[in-house]
Amino acid sequence: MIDLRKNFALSLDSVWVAEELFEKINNQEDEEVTLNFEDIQFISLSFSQAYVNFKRHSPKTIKEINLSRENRIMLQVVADKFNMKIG
Amino acid sequence: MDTLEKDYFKLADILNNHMTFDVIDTTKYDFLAPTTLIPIIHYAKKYNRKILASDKTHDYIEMILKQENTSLTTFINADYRKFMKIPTTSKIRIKEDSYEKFVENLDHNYGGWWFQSYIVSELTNNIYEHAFNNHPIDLGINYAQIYPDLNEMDICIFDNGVSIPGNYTEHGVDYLDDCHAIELALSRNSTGHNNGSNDLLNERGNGIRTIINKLITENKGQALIASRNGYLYIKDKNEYKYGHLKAINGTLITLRLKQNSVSQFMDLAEFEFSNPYLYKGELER
Repeated sequence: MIDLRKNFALSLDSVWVAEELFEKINNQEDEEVTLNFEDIQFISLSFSQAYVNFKRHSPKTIKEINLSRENRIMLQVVADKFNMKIG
Repeated sequence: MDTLEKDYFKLADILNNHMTFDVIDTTKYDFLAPTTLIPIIHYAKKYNRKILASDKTHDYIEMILKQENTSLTTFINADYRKFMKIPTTSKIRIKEDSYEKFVENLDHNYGGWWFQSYIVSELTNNIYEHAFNNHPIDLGINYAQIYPDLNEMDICIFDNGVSIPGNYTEHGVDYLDDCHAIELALSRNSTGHNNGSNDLLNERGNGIRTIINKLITENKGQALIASRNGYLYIKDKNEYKYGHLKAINGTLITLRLKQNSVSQFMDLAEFEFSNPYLYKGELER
């Protein structure tokens, strides 16, 4: 499991954060990777777009947990375009 | 108080008509809003010019200059003014959580914490992604000032980077002139890197488009987007104006927020609306 608050900041706000996150994800040994969004206060549109795009192309199965309602909306609105489910 | 467009006219007037090789004379004006002041301060520091100020603006300018010199991420702790100098690399920025601290210090009555975070993060991202990409880093500044008597707040995001039209040129995107480039930036068109994919969701203009949409329709605020030789001033949903004016090299975006809350709700329609601020330059020729 990757704890986003510990590895990044309170806010996930940029393409670069998403890039760094997926470097970590794709280097995990397990096929299934869980992301813990606990205590993440804010997710930007830039991050969301990059996140969904990286997730689509990642070889890993990714599961999001502890998403706040607002952060889930931000990710899901982008994921909807690809009929992807967040969480 | 002057409109954002008039603030920008002041900036052009000062830089074009009241600057010598060693002095920038602002004494003609008794009030300098962020739109006017931030590029002047940058210009004065970069080219080592002194700023002449009126009695009413002197202390304010001096305070900002002193604070700016302290460190990479600086805040003005006065009640009505908050200032942040953007760290010069994205890595430093991630470490310092600088924009979070900047937003924390703002009065969230103006649009709310989420909208302020959204504005600062998306527009600061644009600076890193567009203005500084493949170029020596010059400067980016985020600045906010409240006008307590008017219940309004300006958030000003300034960079001296490659500019919106300059960025389009580098990416081989055709545009008529600098105003048309600004129109393109608000349309479904962008030049940001695409993360290895060409799908539509990598249109990196969605940030500024949704900010302007929410600002004008929900917050009932105003916006100025100036880049290189062009600017767009949006007074409200039905009144906007493009103009040609040389005052900066990079991009200056000032948002004038009112005390109206902005919903955090996002849906696909937020991304898919068409840009209502069309540039008619081609027809006028």
